[in-house]
Amino acid sequence: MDRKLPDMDITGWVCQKCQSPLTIYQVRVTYMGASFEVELPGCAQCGTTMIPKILAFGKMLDVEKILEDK
Amino acid sequence: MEKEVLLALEDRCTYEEPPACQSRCPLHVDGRTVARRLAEGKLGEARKALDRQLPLAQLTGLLCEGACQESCLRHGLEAAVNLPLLERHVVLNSRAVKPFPMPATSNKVAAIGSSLGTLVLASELSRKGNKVTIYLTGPKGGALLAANNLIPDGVLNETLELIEFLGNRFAEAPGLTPEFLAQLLDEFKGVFIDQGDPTVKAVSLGLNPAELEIDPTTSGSTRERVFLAPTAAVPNPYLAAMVAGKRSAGSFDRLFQGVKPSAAREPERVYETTLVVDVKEALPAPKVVPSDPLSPTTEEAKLEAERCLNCACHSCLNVCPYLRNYKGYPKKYAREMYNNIITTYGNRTSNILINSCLECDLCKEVCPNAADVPAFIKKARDEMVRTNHMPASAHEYALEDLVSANAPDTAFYRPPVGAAKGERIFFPGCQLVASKPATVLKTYEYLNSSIGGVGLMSACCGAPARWSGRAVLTGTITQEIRAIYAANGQPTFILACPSCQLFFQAEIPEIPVISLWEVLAQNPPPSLIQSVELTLHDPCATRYAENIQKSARRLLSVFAPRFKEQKFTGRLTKCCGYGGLGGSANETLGYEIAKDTVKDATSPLVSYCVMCRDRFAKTGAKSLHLLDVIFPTGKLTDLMSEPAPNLTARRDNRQEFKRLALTSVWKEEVKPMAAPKEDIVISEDLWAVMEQRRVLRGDIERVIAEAAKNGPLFFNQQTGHNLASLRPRQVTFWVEYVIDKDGRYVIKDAWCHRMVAPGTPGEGAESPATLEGYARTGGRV
Ligand code: SF4
Ligand code: SF4
Ligand code: SF4
Ligand SMILES: [Zn+2]
Repeated sequence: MDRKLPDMDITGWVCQKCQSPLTIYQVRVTYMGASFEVELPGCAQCGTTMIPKILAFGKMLDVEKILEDK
Repeated sequence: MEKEVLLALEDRCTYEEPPACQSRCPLHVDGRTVARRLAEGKLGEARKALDRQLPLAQLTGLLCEGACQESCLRHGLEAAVNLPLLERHVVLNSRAVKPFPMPATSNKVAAIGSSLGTLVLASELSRKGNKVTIYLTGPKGGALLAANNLIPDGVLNETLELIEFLGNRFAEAPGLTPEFLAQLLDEFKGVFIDQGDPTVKAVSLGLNPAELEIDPTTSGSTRERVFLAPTAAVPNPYLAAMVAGKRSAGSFDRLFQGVKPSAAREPERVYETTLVVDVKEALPAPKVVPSDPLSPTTEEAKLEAERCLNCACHSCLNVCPYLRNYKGYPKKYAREMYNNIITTYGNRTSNILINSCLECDLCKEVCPNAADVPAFIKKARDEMVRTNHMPASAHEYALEDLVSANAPDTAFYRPPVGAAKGERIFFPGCQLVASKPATVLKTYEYLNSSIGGVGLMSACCGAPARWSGRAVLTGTITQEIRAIYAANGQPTFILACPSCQLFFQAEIPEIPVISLWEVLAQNPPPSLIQSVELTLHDPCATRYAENIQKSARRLLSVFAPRFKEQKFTGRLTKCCGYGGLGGSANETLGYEIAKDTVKDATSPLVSYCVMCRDRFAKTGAKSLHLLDVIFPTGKLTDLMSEPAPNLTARRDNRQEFKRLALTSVWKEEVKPMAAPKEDIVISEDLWAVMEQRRVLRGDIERVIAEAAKNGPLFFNQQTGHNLASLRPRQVTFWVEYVIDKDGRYVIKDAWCHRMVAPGTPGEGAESPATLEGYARTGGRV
């Protein structure tokens, strides 16, 4: 599954460890034994990913539901 | 799940059965739809519904005598819905779609006489290109010529022309003799003798009286390949002629295919429908008397159509918002759920349907066939858990809550002070303790002072595990309860919560239980009479526990004698939306259900299940727990307006109850509960948001502790906000915060999700609180 997740305002956010601004890139997330690629903000240097609130209650929840329903 | 389980439920739910008028109509005309369409003013749609079952409706719709009338449910009230009149109205005011002649087949049939039976036969057969040669013994139209009062000018001629247009032929009969019949049987695949035509005398054709007996299924004579329409001397002669024409057409079709005319005729029979319709609430509607009995006005027809009850079974749908929510009915849902279970490819789109039922049994009580929908759903849930398809989100929070209620810092058992064993054990249940710790303690103290020898066990019985189909977890918890039961020499458990009681009876039936309400009714505490009027709500878990319901009433009649009954009460009580964890899997619907249940109450509610009490409070309704009335901890008017404690407070209350009970009753030293971290600031608004997202203060504290140690993950250079995250169990929490000038953590937002993304601390970590971990270690009380 490949999904573009909308509306992520990442202005101003930097990685605390690397101090580099966040970018949006493809990340593999897993849930209930399934995994898939999704575009998320994160630190390109150390790979720490952010799941913004808008995702946790919008699209991400939909994605969780889709995976649950598999 | 075995197919039989589905079939058994499908068999019970008669929602799809036809209304009485249709099952009793020999042609199975869908009178309900015709009437509904007319009532909606949709004449064209009404015509379509009529044409579907009624052959040659332009003529037959004018003539039917209405065999359905006695079966109509309105017949028992004032008078049957006049379907013959409605049919007339439809036919007189709409036009049929003109059929086109089909290419002729080699299947040729002869008919003798040209009355209604023959015309129906010819129109039916020619739909597939099978043509009829109609031998005239008198004027075209037979008995129909005499029906000119019913058939407007021109209609008969048009119909006769249509019959020819479709490829059927009229010919003169040379005279009715046995030889003529023999010749026709030679030349054609079969012969239809229309005795409804006054000029047709079947005896002249050499048929003896036995051969004139008409088989009601095939309309056949005992003479092979000969079929008959009855004479006009039978009851409802027009309808009988239509039936003969249509049945004979079916018989010929079978002959053409080399099948016996009687094969597979079951669906055509007249029968009693199994549909049960509740007409109690039907408003009276007198029969419409049209100014012209043969041609009602549109308004008159509409009025008459509106009298139709639209016969259907809505008994369960009327009382259950869950069943209404998915726009279907149990039989349909059962099929969907079954497919959801057996699917190997494709999405399980019915998960939410399976998980939103409250397992409250109300539907079963009102169903005329006692269809056990909740039992079916329970099987479906068990199966989903068994096959690992149960979505974690549906019950996760409730199960975590269960585990937390049974964790060592919360759960405990103590025999009565000074004794080694309890002769009885008071088991208030985890939710009552979570909601009203002080009241529970008062209750325990009263029990011990009045009946004595009562031990106290604070824990969750395991009901959520059972509701969510977790057999292993259920087993683990019952094992713990059994151990205490054995160690105390098999005491009776006094249960405050009706759901605990159902659970005990189902899962640990060897343990004798009695409801707190029975105990209190038998040993009433000194009464403080409350003058306020209350509405009593029976928890749905007491549906079949009449003794508990009676005890609650006995208590109320002493403590709050001005109480009233809910509209749905006793065996017919409604659920608050908590049952079966329905409200946990589907919060929005659970909330709608709570609102539906409180809407009938005319004064503050009182329930003897704390989940009802708290859920009613969440809808904004004033509500009390029965213990509030018996052992008030404040003014009743204040108690009824108290909000339900939030999820964090519920957990705190359970711990606090343990500390309170152990220090005040057992004089044990218990170190006070860790005070909420004062350096964490949460606003009122955020509390509300956290409640919705099921984020507890403890979760935030853990994330902040992690951030304090290792720093947050992200920092926003514009807003100065920090963002920290932790995955202590199957859930990842995010906390956005700033540190104010006093060094306090001011929480700006908090959220959680289940998916695992790289980089979160604690990722994949299995905390001791995971359900599997709990089930493995056996938990501890
Ligand atoms: S009450 Fe519900 S389950 Fe029972 S027959 Fe009617 S529609 Fe079906
Ligand atoms: S009330 Fe309507 S649907 Fe019911 S039997 Fe009568 S005509 Fe048919
Ligand atoms: S919620 Fe209650 S009434 Fe509705 S289907 Fe489930 S058990 Fe039946
Ligand atoms: Zn980094």
